[in-house]
Amino acid sequence: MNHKLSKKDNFYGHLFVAPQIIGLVLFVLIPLFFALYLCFCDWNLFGAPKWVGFKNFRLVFGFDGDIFSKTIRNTAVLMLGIVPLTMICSLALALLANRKLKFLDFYKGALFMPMVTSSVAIAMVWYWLFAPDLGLINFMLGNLGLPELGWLTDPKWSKLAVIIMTVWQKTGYYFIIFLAGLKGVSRVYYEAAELDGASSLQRFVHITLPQISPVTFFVFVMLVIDVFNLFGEAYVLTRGGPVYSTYTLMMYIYNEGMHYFNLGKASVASIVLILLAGSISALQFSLSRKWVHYET
Amino acid sequence: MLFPFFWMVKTALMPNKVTLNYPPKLLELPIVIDNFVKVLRSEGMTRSIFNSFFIAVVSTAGVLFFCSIAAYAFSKIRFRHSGFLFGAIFATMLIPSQILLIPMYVIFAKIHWVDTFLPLIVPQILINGYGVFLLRQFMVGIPDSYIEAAKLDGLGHFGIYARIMLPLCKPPIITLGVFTFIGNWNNFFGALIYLDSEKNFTLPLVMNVFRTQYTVEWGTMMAGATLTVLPLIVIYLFAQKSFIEGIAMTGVKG
Amino acid sequence: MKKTLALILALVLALSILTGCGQAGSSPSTPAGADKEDGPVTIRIAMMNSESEIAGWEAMIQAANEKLAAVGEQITIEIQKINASDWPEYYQKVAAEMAAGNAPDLGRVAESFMPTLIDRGQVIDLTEHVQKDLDQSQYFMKTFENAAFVDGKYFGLPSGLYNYVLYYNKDLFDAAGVAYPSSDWNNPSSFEEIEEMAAKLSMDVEGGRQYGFFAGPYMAEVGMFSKALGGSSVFDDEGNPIMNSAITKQVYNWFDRMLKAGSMPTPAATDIMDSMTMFTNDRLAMTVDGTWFLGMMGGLADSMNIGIAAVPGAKGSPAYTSQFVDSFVMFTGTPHQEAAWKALAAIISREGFEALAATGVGGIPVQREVSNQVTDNLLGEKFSEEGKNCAKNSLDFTLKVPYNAYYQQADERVNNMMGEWMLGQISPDDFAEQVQQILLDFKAESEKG
Repeated sequence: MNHKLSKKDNFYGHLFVAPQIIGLVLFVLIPLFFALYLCFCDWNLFGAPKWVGFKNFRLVFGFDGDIFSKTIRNTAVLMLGIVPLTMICSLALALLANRKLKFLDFYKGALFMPMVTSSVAIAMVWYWLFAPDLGLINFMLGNLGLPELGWLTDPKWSKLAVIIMTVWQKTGYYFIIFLAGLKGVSRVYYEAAELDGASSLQRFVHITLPQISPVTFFVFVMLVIDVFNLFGEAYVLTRGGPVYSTYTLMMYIYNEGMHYFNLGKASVASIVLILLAGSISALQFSLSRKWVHYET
Repeated sequence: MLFPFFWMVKTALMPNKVTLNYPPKLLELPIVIDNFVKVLRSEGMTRSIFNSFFIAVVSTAGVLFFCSIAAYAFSKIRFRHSGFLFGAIFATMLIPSQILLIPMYVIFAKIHWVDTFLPLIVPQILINGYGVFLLRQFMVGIPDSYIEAAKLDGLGHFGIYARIMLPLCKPPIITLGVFTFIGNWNNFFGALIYLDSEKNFTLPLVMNVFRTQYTVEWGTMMAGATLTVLPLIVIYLFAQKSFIEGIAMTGVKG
Repeated sequence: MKKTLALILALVLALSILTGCGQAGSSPSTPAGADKEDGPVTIRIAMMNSESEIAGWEAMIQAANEKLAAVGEQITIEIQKINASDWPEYYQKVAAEMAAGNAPDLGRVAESFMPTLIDRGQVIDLTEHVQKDLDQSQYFMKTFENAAFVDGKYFGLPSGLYNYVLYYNKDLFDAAGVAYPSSDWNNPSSFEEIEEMAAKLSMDVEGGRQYGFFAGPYMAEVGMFSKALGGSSVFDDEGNPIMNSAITKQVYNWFDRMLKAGSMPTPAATDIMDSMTMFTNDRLAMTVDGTWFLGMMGGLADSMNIGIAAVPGAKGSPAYTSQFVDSFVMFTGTPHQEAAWKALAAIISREGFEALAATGVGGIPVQREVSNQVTDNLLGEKFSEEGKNCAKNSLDFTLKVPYNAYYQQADERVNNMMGEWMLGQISPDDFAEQVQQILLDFKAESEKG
């Protein structure tokens, strides 16, 4: 391996990523600087933003403090539920789909459907599944002799309802990514392992897992970001309630920014989100050296 | 998995009044196609399909090219600051889009891009942390020996990208393509903010008129949603075929 | 090196845009005099585009254009269709345009947004025009005094009015042998009577439960019921919240008893099947809901036996019904204030409202001559005269929802906190105290400025 940077490599590297860097400056950095400036301002949308010092920080951490800290705790709980469950479900389904199964196409198509189904339809159906009296889930619990749960009315259970719906929704999506990853694992490795008489579990642990680890890493990192961005169907399902039990940081930012037009407060909350999400991502990247297998 | 989809299609085939019945039945007779007729007859329908298709195709093509070439550089070329630059591009995914919206609009208004398709196409092509990250994760899995061999054959970086990397990364590229197409095809909010004249309206915008403040015409809305999904299913079926081709290509690899 | 360069570049650009925003904003305040340009002017009005309503607004604008042309004005009104499905989306679009310095000249917005718009100076004070150029005898001027009316100033003109009435299902009443509720707004059925009726009308039926009564236990409803009991709505005359007053607690307890008795569905249950759907499916005998459903009731008259009554009140004294008034506004930044006013006056003229009314869209007109005729049209021929009259009479008993700079935000917080009360974890009295505290907190914060 030649460790000196080649001039040609350096040039092409920069050339190939240049468009992204231009976009980064134009469409992210500039608007971001403006948003950061708004942290310290009241802005009525026309006229120059009015400098108000740390007022927005006081509003977010002080006045809204209780709710704001709740959003962070909620986000953390949802993350602990959604990330591992989605990874396990989508990988398991992808492993199944990578074999020769009957009706494989149908089954892959079914997993794809949540991605294109109208989000209103999705939220409506989950509403009915979770409904207190007539809902299917409570009906089944009742048949099993278990108590019916207030999925959408009781703060104790509402998070679980959001976790279940989100895992359902994300699984199909990451299933496709895992499947694409499994398609990239060369048959040769398996053939060699088979000659060595490795069991299917050994093959999975020693070949499949390391080979798809870059993809697993991608799914892991993206799921964390997804939970930070959790909105859409989850918001339609619970509106962040009951008693703010499913209110996430992103819902807070959305409401302040898009609903009440307190752009300053939304910016302050966004900084918290960027810092939290950024440090988790940084941690994931630094730990990845220990387990992600990069081909050389 | 299929139940919400089934519910969507079922509701679309019911008269608006019956959609309010409760508890809902699995099958509601008679089936009517009035909702589909109403949607298809709505104003500016053909035009909006064309607009949506145009935006989705151009965006997808642009995203695939610019993301894959940047991902190639980040995974297989050693250049100065590559780690820092990748981190910066990745970090764009962490920023809530809500706080960028108004400043972005102001920028686009200044350069007279409002009421054109450009704000809906260009930003995601030029900065796409998701696409770059996704493709990079797949490209790092490709052995360096391929690249060394290609270099010995006299290929430059662009040649390696086009002739080696792209074919080897077909499954993830198609995956990204499908996701990008879906995202653009369904992009309601961007279209709402940036498009003014009716001749530029996209399909999600035109469909949205069936939702109103006080009442929702469920049947009509779901008919619209069903029609919107159809092209995506076609594209998925097409892409699924390519997944299988993907196996054959990567089989060469070992 | 490159990073620092990029950073500096970005900073410079960001700053130039910042100042750009400032400039875009400062221009509108200057051209008050630059208004008198000659030649044709096009006035842009931003309208929410929904399939069921847009034809009505188009007709109204067309009538206004004809009226302007007839008097020789060189003003054309053009609709900017915003395909939003709710008001926040609509406002989002207008806000973005505002920030970029190209806001529409006119618009139509929901009452709940008015305090924010006024507070931020995003809409123009129309008082002078209303006092000088508007023939006030033609309008229900009381309806002008909604959230768009602050400190004696008009910041918006009503485009139409909605309020609550009590819809009831006569067949369910007949089946249970219960007498219908009163349709006399001056002598409504009392809270106790409604509670009794609701209990008699509630029962388990095949596949679920039939409820007797529903009204949202939200601030606007609690406020109007408190007013009927001799209290006032949410705030006292000085603007201090009074949600923990004895009368308010009485209202909360009334709701609580009906919820516990199973004669009223919980708001969570109505999330799954909304109360109007329950009503149209014979699952709910009485529901307090808006006149935005009048047209739908007229349509259902073939298959259902629906009555309209006054909302509950105190025996022998008038009932009150919260009104919701969407307003036409003029956005700050329009370079054509004079022309925009002329356009606005033409839009809310009799011709404008008649054109709108012919389509049955946009609520009950605030223009006297067209109002009753619209109610008749919406309810149709089959509907009983008594019901029609009750709906018409309700207009004289409307009560302004006390929107202010923080009402909407506080309201949403109250609704989210309602869960504990609904689960029976806290008493209605405690909940009333919680609501009061939320309002006090918001009030204190808003006064800090």
